[in-house]
Amino acid sequence: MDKEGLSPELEQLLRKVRVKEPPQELMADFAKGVNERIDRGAAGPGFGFPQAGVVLAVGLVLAGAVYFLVGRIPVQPALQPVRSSLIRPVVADVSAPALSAADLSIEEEAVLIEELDEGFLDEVIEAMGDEDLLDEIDFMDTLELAAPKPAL
Amino acid sequence: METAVLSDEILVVRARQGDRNAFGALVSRYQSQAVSMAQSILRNYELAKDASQSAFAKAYFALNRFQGEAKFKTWLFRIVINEAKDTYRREKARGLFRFWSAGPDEEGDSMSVLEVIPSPDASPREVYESNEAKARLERAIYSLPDREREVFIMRYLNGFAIDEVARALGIAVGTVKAHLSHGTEKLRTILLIPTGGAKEGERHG
Repeated sequence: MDKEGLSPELEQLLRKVRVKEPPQELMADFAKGVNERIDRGAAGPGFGFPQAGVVLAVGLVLAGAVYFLVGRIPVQPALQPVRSSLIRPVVADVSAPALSAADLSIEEEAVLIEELDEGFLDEVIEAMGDEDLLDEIDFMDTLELAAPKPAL
Repeated sequence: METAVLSDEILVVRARQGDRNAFGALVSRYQSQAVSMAQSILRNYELAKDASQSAFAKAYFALNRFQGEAKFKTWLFRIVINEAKDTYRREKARGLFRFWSAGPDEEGDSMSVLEVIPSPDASPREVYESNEAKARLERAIYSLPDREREVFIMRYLNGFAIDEVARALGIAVGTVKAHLSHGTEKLRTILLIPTGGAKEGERHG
């Protein structure tokens, strides 16, 4: 035994004592107790197999529930009517010769643009990332800017 | 009989392969030390035995994780210490440990973890003085902070090397040395407080 830090008196004292051995009668069935625990498969409160199984099962159920709920949100179908309601008026506006700048007063034209803008705002936000829809909106903006001015 | 002479390493390999006799040999080899180690933490033999048995069972199920980077004994005692500490916390929460917090005052009861090494030619007076010194030492050791006490007992009473103490407690070697230094300094202070001058007279007489 190294003597680091021990004074001679302390060292001498430690030589005279030892850790007590447990009583023989206490140790007679020690190995039997160990084997029982091994056979039970329970090595104390930290063993945890049943608990781990419960946690895993609950986790899977929750994950499945979240996946089910998220999958039920109709994202794709909602885009179709939005797209059709957006595109049809735009196409109609572009192709219908009757709906030209000459047929609308400035106020009516402003109201129409404002309504279209408002209508687009929510849908555009919802359809963020829909490239086709954004292209349509850009195209409409281009037409609006290029609309011939009525001759005075 | 054969397993009793095999090394720990060979017994571990066999136990991993399902040889319960090999693991039983390891249990027999270290059960007393394990209970003594747990006893130094719990100060109660029944609880120490229970904690040690649980520790051995946990070690059995964890054998595949034992990589051999430390001695089996060191790895095992780490499990024993952790199990004893868990038991201590659990029982303390139940309020069962308040009776021994004052320190060992009675000889031969389950709370005492040390004993005097018998000397055949010791006079009755020497036996009495040795027992008194043992009691004072035990009181002093149990007045140390938990970690310093654990390190001191493992190093000087269980004979662990410093690196083994470090591995068993999961701390750095430098930390072990620091705890030893602080602990022994405190013990020197406690034990060398004169008790009426008798100690000094006897030492020089």
